[in-house]
Amino acid sequence: MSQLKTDAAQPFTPSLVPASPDERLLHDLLGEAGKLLADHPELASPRAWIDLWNLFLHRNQSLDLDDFGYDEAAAKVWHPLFDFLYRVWWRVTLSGVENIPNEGRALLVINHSGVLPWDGAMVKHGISQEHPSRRRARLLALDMFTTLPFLQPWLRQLGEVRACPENGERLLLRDELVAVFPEGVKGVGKYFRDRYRVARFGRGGFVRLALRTRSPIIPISVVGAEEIHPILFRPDFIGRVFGFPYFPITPTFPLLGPGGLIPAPTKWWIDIGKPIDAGLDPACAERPMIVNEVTDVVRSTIQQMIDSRLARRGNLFTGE
Amino acid sequence: MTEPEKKASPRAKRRVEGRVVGFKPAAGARPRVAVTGGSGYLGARFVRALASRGTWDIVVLDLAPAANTPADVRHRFLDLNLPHSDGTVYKILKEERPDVLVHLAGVRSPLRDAVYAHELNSIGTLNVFGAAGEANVKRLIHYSTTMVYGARGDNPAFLSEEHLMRADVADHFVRDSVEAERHCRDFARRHPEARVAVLRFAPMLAAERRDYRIRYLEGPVALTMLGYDPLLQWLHPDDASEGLLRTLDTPEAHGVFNIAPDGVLPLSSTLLLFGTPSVPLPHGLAYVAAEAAWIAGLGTAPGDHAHYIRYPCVASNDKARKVLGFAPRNTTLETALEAARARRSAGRAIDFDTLDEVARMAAYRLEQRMKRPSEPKAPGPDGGEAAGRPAAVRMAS
Repeated sequence: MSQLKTDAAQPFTPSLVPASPDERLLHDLLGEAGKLLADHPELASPRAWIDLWNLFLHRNQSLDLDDFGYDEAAAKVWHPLFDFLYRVWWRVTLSGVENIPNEGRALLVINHSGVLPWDGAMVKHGISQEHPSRRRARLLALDMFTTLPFLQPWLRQLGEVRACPENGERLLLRDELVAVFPEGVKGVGKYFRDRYRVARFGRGGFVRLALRTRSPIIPISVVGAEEIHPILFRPDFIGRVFGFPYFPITPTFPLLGPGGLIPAPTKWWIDIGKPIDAGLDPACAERPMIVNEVTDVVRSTIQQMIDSRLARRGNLFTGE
Repeated sequence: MTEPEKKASPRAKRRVEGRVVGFKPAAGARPRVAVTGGSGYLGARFVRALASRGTWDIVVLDLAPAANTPADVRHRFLDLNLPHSDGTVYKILKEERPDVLVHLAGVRSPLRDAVYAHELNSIGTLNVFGAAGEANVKRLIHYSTTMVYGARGDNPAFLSEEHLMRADVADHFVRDSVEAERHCRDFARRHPEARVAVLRFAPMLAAERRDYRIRYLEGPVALTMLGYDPLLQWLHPDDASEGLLRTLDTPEAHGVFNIAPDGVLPLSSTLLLFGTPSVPLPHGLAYVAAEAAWIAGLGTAPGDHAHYIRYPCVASNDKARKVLGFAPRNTTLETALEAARARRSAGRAIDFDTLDEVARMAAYRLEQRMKRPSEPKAPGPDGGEAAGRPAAVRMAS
């Protein structure tokens, strides 16, 4: 919202660095609206105050959205958090980024783990940081995340969309990078004892998507995320009350309350595999046995990538 | 300064064209269109635009003619709430023998008198279509709304025409539209030779039209759902009228079409433009509060209609673009800005001139982002030329 100015003769020119200290305080507190008020004291009418309040609520958002509601300005605000998690908290090592094309569509298939979908955020952040053309992948998020209050507008601003074939197809036909988690809830909510055992890959919807849009499938394995919230028990009926599909009991949650939501600082590896191009006709999307076969190839590729990384992994936290 | 000039010139042109029409062959030579509800907000706009072309003979069926109806547009009295209204419609259609019947009559805001709204929107459509079947009308265009898809958490980002109508049955206002569409579908089944185009219009927003959306957006406060900020679409009335014209120009138009703008705008941004403070309530409470406000006469819509401020209900205009050649001129943001600018008075901290530039830039960027590759590159080794276009594209085009 940096383009705002008043009706007054002197135009309001936004600057990134406020000039005087008292202005800086207002600016920090109220964003652009505060700067505006500091420049134009005559604005203090009730209607203007409502505007300023609305502008304050909007301080990080822009009106320039793409058609799925991705807000570049709002997403930028969260960059430092993801960067901290990526570089400091989980010290992610990313390999095989050259397997992602510089342009054109591709479907990224990722194993899912860790109760909260941090793995998707880290894959996306890693690619946007380390890929030469800084591509921004778009995650297809589970229904349960896109319908929860506060999470719904937040994910929308970050550019995530609800996982359904229509959304995936629309994005792929626009030559975007689309990331899916075919394991779904079975993957994020699995027991600690089942870690690194890739669950069933849905009903092969992602393969149909790739075949129909002729997109290469790029398998991605994430190692390290399984241990951030080890699930010991899962009394799911408690979660149902709050609208969650599961209710995890981890060593820290719900014992430590909100503190239990802090993930363990394990060492992560994200490996991006070679693109799998089935080279099949789009019509094969309507043949369930072929779809299942491709699904199985992708699933076993990811399982192999995980296994080979696990064999080389040493300490859980240092990786030595 | 430029605004009145811009508005004046097409009107003047229309007057000139209106005079030219007088020299054209007799009215019988032109195809005839009957428009129910042709004096309503959209109806009058559509009729004016169509009359300015001079190629159609227009009959408006409504309670009264609109204030500035063009001279060569005829008006016939029709009240769909009177008993035996289907007989009245049949009599008019038999006398006029229209080539196309455009059914726009209905209430477009939730009414406290739900029975009246039901009689007009649902039963009225049933009667009009029943009469049209008996009178052997071959082409029908029906007004519907994208709200029939229902605002649901599991909606795709863009609802296509094949999507089910999943509006909440408790929401009387939208349920009447769903029922009206069912009557259309029944008609199409009984008359396979007739072409029935159902146009689902995205929510319209215009400063001079004080419908329940404007009343909601203007406040003094607007109820919102805590933690929810759905994406909305706002259709410009000119684009809505353009959608009707395009459908009329496409004789083979049959089936459902979404008439929706490009681009989306969150509810919070729309309230920002209108300068209305929001009152966020947890969703469990918000439905109850909305219903209470509605009963008390303070609210703008019943509680069950509040799904539309919780979940998105955004329609895709791909089919209308391809089949009807519909190209909306205003994005959602531009429409909202235009309406908000006209409604806002002094004492605002928002500069609409600057925001107009933002909206223009955003519209350009949106066009760039939405641009689908004309020749999709097949990433496989077999090459794009031999493999042709992806199945989905091929099917759609």
